[in-house]
Amino acid sequence: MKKIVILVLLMFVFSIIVLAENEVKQIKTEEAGNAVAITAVKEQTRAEITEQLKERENLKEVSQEGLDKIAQLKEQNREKIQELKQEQVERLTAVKEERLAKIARNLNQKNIEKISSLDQELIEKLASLDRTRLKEYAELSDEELKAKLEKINVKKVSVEKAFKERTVAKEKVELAKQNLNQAKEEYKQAKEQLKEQKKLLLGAEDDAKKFEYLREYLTSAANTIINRLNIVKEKINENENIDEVAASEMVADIDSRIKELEENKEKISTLTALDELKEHGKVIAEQWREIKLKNSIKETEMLRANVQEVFKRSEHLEARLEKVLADMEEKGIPTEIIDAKVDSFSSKIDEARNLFKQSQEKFNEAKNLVNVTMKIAEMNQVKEAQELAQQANKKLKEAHAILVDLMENVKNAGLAKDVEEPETGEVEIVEEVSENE
Amino acid sequence: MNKIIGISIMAVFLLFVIGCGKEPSVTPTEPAATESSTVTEVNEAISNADKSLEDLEDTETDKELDDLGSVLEQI
Repeated sequence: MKKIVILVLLMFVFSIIVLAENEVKQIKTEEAGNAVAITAVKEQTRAEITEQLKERENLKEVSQEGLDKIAQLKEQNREKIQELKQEQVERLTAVKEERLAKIARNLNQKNIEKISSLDQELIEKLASLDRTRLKEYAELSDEELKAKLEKINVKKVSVEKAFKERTVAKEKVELAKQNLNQAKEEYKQAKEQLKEQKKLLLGAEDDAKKFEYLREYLTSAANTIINRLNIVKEKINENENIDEVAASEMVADIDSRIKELEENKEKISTLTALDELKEHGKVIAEQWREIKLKNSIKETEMLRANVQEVFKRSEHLEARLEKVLADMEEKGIPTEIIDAKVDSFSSKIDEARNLFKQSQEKFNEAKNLVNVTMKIAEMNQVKEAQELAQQANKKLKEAHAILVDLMENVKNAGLAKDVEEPETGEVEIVEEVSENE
Repeated sequence: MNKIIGISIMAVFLLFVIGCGKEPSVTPTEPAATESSTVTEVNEAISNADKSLEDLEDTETDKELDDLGSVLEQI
């Protein structure tokens, strides 16, 4: 009897679950149907708006494509554009629709009027910028704005080359990793020997012992420097953010310094007098001073190149997010939450950009000084440039945290594929030419 | 008593048949994010930048090598 009751209850519960599931599916189907209906209504409304725009005296001669772009904007943003003169509207609507939406969303009437008076080429450059720089630039005087835009370079590159400076074959990366591990191991041994030999040398009582230990000490010093150079070399070899020419130059410089050190090691083994060894030790000490300086430059180049990749990817993502926002506006989906988060994302990238610029200035200055003076004091400036680049990367990390949160909203809006799907063909990259370049 | 149980079983069975018999609707679903997603690529680039100076900073050994000149003077 009990078994029958339990069986009945189980069947009852299962039936409720199945019914509830079907109910949800039905609601979803109805929602999808409603969305199609809403889209149809939106298209109808947009067509009506376009017709209304055509009736305006200042918009009569504007192309249908241009009017369609304006019609897709939110009402309060549309108003900022429709009041402009015909030629201003024509210039503004020549930019991509998501860029027009970005301009209308982020700039006030006064600034829109100002930028729409610029040449088409400058408008295109301005429109290609992220929203934070767009707002900042639009506040500048005409002269300052033009000067800033002169330094902006927008280029189209294939997706494969957009974010990395070169492609290193898998086998080469694998070989570099193996060589790096070997260099690390040999470096560890050499530096231990260096410490031991130093102790023995400083404790030696007669010249014969001093000679013996000094020879070992200098050999260990040369080996330590050689392996340190090999570590830098292999890190360059596997780095895809340094272009082929720069990487070859850096590796060639390292190879020639290793060759000199190997020759010095050979020389050490042939010397017979303590004073000769001491003199030769001075040569190695001088070599180390130069290598240390040059290494710090190469290390900073690598760090900056890697941070640069994060910038390119983040800036490109922001542009894709603007497209998502424009699509949402077009579909009549509320954009406020995503818009506010894109704002935070963009501001964080801008903070990183400013730190990176400071790093660039400091680095260029230090690099020039190092090449001229070869003074170890210039290393402080190189280190400062490194620290600024690291701080920029930290800000980019914070921007990434905002992005992850933002992507949840984009997913909920059903537009995640517009940001996440891998792209093909060409993408636009915006570069700001540095003051010192 | 048996009648009540019988009717209950019939009612539940009917409910079960109705539940299962409803045609499931096809709802478009959001494709799952792929591993190659652009967001993941940014994350990888950040961690790569973080590791840029890994294995390259060794102030202790730098100091040992900086001391080379003074060691030569001491002997």
